[in-house]
Amino acid sequence: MAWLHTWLGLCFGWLLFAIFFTGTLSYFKEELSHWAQPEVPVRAVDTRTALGNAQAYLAQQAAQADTWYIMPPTSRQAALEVMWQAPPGAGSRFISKPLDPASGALVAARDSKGGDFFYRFHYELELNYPFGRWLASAAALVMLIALVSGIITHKKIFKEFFTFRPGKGQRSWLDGHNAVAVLALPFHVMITYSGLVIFMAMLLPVTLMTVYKGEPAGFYQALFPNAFPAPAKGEPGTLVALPDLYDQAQRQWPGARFSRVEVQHPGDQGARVVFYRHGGDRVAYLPGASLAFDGVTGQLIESAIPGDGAMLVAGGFYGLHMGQFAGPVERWLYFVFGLSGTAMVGTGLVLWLTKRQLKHAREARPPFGLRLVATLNLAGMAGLLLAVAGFLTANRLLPVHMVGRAEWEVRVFFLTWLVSLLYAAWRPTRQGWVHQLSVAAVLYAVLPLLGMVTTARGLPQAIAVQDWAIAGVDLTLLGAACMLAWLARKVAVKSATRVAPARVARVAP
Amino acid sequence: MKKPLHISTRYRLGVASRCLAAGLGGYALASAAGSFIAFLMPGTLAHMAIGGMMVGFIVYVLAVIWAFACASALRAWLGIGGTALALALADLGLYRMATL
Repeated sequence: MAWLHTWLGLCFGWLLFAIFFTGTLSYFKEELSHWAQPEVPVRAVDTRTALGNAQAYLAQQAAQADTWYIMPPTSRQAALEVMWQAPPGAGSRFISKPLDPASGALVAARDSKGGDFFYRFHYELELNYPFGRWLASAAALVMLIALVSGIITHKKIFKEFFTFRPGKGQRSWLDGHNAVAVLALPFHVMITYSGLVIFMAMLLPVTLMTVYKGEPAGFYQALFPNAFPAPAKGEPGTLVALPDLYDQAQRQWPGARFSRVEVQHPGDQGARVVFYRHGGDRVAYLPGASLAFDGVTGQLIESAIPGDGAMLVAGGFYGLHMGQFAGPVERWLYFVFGLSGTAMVGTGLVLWLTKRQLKHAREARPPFGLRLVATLNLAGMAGLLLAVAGFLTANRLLPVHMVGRAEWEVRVFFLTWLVSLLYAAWRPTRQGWVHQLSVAAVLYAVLPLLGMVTTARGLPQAIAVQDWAIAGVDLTLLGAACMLAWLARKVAVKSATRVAPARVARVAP
Repeated sequence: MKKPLHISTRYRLGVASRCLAAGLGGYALASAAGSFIAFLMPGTLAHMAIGGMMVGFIVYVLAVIWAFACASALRAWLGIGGTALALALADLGLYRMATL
């Protein structure tokens, strides 16, 4: 069992570290997006007015589109987002615009993927569908196996929970690995298993096909009953006012929030308007839960979907994974647990290396395998932190009106990572760690300063107007800078005391 | 698996074989077990499918653990392959009986 745990962990460790870390950042997706587009004004949430403004804008700009998608603002998402299908041959499939929810005017915000980049990266890895999702799911399965085999390996789980032997090299890494793993074990199991549950139809299609006798369309109709509209009638019709429909939806589901309003065939006699319930209204997330209205008469057509039995259990896992229900305290808990998962993978990777380095401590040149793992450890962990900093720095420094700006942010992310990898290959030592961690610390510390210079919403301004999303991101960046500086110092002190007796510091964790 | 002092080709092949049994065999077993559980589930077709798939992942994890916990690679193949085959045959029967 220890063998399985060790080698699965090593092969998938760097990928899992990246998935865990970017996934952890995704718990503040909306806040990061707001930080990345500080031009979007924050208004008091008024869904009714926002829907009216969206309807007016779309009627003017996208009258010919087959479907409109309206994402009303929430307490965490400032912009009113409207989206429609692009005409064929326009490059991307959808056109998306941020609007000021109070006026309906287009917001001239810098083009950025913001927090959405980290969110999508953590399950698609910037690979094409379906390969990214398959790879991320394989990593999730490996993680689950590593957790189970880790528990089996771990015989004295209770006693060792209270054991920490700092400053003892390999022992300390083992204790640290066990502590972060056991401390948040229910979270690790939940987050990994639920990740698989979210993509189950893609991952186990055979089961789906056998139950539905080869015609899985019925499955999606059961889950998303309002996502399959009848074709347009071809006769013009006047779309009912969306604010009035919103009032009706509120009467159906008092107090409900809606994450998306979909207008199917606008301007047609067969138009339909679907209100999708916000996932944060309850813990279990049923993505198809929605109200459908006739878009011309305004009559309710269809409400709710079955949410009991196995569906409720699956929805519960989905909701727990996404954490949309979480308030500020729960959200920070998610963040801390996510970091502990990241640390669990990271300490495991370091542990693998320190254990084997002891054996080769006397050799002038460590074997290739150790050098490779040392390189990938450095680039996979410190390098990822640098890449994230690179992405955020690009967001602050690239010209606001640059063409392809959002794509360049992503390119800077990967270029930074590549530079880190090359440097790590050249210097996979403790010294390399000190250098990369120090650069990361400086970058994270500089980011809030850059915000003060290049945006109108730097840290002092954000605090002054009580914009806690931007202030929170900036303060967290400063906190991360302190943490990284402390880590860099710690590694530096260690390598200074280590180099003298024997030349063991050739390859560092 | 106990690691021998000298790593022989035989040992390496055994590991490779277990990896295949765990990865591919485990996937086949998870799919077959998922379908089997689904047919036993109460509720609508969607409930059945979701219940089956959710159990399928757990079966996959257990299959991989088993592939590396059992005494030999041959046993891993027999255990996983045999169970998958038996479940697939049961699935076939249930599939014939079920009406959409």
